[in-house]
Amino acid sequence: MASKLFQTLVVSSSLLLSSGCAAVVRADEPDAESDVALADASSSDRALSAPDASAQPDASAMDATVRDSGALVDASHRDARRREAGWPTTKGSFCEFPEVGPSFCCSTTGNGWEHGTGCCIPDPDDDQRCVACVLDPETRTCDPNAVDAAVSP
Amino acid sequence: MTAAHPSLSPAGRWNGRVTSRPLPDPAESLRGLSLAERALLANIWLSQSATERRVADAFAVVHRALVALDADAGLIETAARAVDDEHRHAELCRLVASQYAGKSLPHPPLLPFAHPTHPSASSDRVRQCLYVLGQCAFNETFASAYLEAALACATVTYAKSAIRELLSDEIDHSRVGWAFAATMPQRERAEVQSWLLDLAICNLREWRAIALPSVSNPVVLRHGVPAKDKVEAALLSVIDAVMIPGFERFGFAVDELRHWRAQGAPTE
Repeated sequence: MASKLFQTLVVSSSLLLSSGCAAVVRADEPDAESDVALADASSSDRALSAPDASAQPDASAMDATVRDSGALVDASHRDARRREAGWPTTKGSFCEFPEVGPSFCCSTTGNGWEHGTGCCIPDPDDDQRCVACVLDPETRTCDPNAVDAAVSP
Repeated sequence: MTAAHPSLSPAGRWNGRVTSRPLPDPAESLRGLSLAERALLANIWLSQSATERRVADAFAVVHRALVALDADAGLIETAARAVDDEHRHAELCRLVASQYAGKSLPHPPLLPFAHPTHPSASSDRVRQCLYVLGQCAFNETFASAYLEAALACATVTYAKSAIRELLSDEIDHSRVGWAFAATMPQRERAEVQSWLLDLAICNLREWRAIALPSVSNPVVLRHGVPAKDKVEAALLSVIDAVMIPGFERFGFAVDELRHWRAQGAPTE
């Protein structure tokens, strides 16, 4: 399954390129020539071929540069980087697990906020409304009290 | 932030339609479900509608980053279309939720949107590169792995059709990241290299935080909601088979990623 994804996601990614690699390579960059060559090669048969590995930046040269730059990044900086939240996922949490969030809080007007299964679907006939909870990144719990401040109307 | 619930663009992937082809009649797929099961599945899909909507805002950020980087026009165009794609996904999920609920459901509430800001990046250009890789090469690749796992467990035709629609778009969104990795300017590569492991950790942590059934629920399983252990296996597998070889293919050193993965890919 995953090896098929490699072909689909990585190898075929060149399908998206309209002008090969040249578009993002500056003339003053050391690998400009090799990338232009890659652009020429890929434009001739873009739909069928992945970027030519020989046209990629020299990995050994990269390694040396990276080792240098890596030495500048001390452990505390790296720890801070890794504690940062990632990009929001496309997959929802479920109302039956409201403690994890992000989730939804339901309210019957006048009765306050309440978590619970089924709260994602307000019943207008019962004067219910549904709002997003705000995830507390430290406790990873939902805070319904922060909803009004954080959610755009 | 993009508009809350804009009309789908006629210039979008399917000329303004929600799906590439009509979804099958749901009647057969819904037969035999109890009211409680239908409510649960409606909840799941409506929750996903909200999170898909939020990712439209993420792609607006990616699009701006690619424009600022003067990236390949094909990538900029795909990222712009991805904003519309995610609005379509939100609408698709709402429509599926409505079928399970047996009535037309309103749009779910807007979820607050925030994204990594990478304050210690040495320049705006590096930061923009990290946005593209973080959202596309990491987050959307994890999303593709999740959807593959969902598709593998689903047996209900209606749910499978909806998941396939989502997966086909996520593949393109992930490709933006990989094509960008292949074409990234040399001057940003060295610093971005030092962030790869950090991006992997931050984004995997988000996927691991998704609430999923800890044991297989046969009903939700049939309707495309995989159990937590299956999702974990899919996420780890995609690191091994896509992310590490993908970055290596495009000239990045992957020793740190391999070492982290060999330790079980810890995120805490």
